[in-house]
Amino acid sequence: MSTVSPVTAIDPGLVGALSADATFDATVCMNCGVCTAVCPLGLEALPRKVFHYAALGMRQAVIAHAEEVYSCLLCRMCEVSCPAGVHITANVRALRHYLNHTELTTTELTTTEPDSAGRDRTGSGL
Amino acid sequence: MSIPTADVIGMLSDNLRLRASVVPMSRRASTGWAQALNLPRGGTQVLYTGQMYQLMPYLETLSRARGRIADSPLARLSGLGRRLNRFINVTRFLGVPPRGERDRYDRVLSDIVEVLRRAGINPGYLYEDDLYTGALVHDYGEDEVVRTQGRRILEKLRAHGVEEVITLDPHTTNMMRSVFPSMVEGFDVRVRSYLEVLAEREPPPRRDLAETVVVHDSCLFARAEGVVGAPRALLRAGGVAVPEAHHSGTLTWCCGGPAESLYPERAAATAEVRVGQLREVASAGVTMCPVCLVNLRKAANGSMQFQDVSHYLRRVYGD
Repeated sequence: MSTVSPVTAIDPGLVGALSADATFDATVCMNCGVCTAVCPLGLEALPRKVFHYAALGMRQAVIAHAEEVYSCLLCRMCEVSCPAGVHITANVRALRHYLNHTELTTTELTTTEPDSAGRDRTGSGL
Repeated sequence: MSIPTADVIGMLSDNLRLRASVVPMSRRASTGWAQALNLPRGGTQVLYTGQMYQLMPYLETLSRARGRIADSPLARLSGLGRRLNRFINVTRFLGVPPRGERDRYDRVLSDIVEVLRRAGINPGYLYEDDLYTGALVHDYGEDEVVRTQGRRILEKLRAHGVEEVITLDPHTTNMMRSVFPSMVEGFDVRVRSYLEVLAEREPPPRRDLAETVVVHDSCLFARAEGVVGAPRALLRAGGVAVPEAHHSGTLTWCCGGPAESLYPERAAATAEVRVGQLREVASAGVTMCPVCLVNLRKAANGSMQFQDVSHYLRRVYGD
């Protein structure tokens, strides 16, 4: 996985971009970890870590976890278990929309590795 | 090499935007089953398939073709394929499913109509206007494409004077009942699953099956649409024993199907776990979603029998 610089990766407009089509309520997450415990896929970073990266504007960290964002089943096991009532599936869909339409910068292209299946997850221009 | 995520999502999204379905198929393939049953065209109460059962054999064929392409040099041309697909329907050249596979899914639709009719419910059908809802593209976050599809569907419903829609699968139910009303102004048609309609009607069973099946709850039915009790009540009234798996109802375990398009290996691993959970309590299982049916059958590989719930309902309540 790529190493993310917290200085160069900050994008203050990230949450605004994510909220364009949905109410992105990642900041409600209190990082309790119930979602991670119940996930059928055993995803480690999604939702809570990636949501916090997004809320902090860490664009490069979000992009580095694209595989988890796209492989989420949207099964809602985490959502019905979440004590904070975070709209997890809506947030994941918003992240996908963001990634679908994100053209990576030259720096990001060199630091973003293919996913575990060897897919090239570079900017799509949907 | 694998096909880039963006090209897979892009092609499906383009198909829905340009051709009103993720995998365009002929009118005969999507509506032939209804013509054979002489379903009346239109009406205030219609059966709405959203083409989900009809699409499954085509999606399975596409999935097999994608696997072949991913293992070949053609994978490098996926971007070109997507651009071409905007002008000609490239997905049509990836294969047509065998007649037998299509018949198997058409049979589910026929069984449901038979059970509804026996219960005194005679809905109409929209034929070529029974459009795919775009559930898959919604999952990928392409809300603008989905909103356009929702408006298209609302226009069709209004043109036919539809007041109530009876849905069959959880994805179409969720899109029509929960997603479109929040995205498309004026989308306020009444939407119920045929399982809810039947359970409310409480039709008298015509046979006592004395069999045992475990219910695999669909994630969307159980956690988004509250359809949990209806299939169990209908089966139990027909003498079917329904033991519960450890993960059932609102705590059901996903079949892995939603990951199939992009991460088939993850989908398969999730389905294998689920089959193990179900096999602990019964050797036969029922599903209420064609996506669940495909994934669990594939993962079971004959170690456990899966049928759509309509297969049992027809035997209990049908002719």
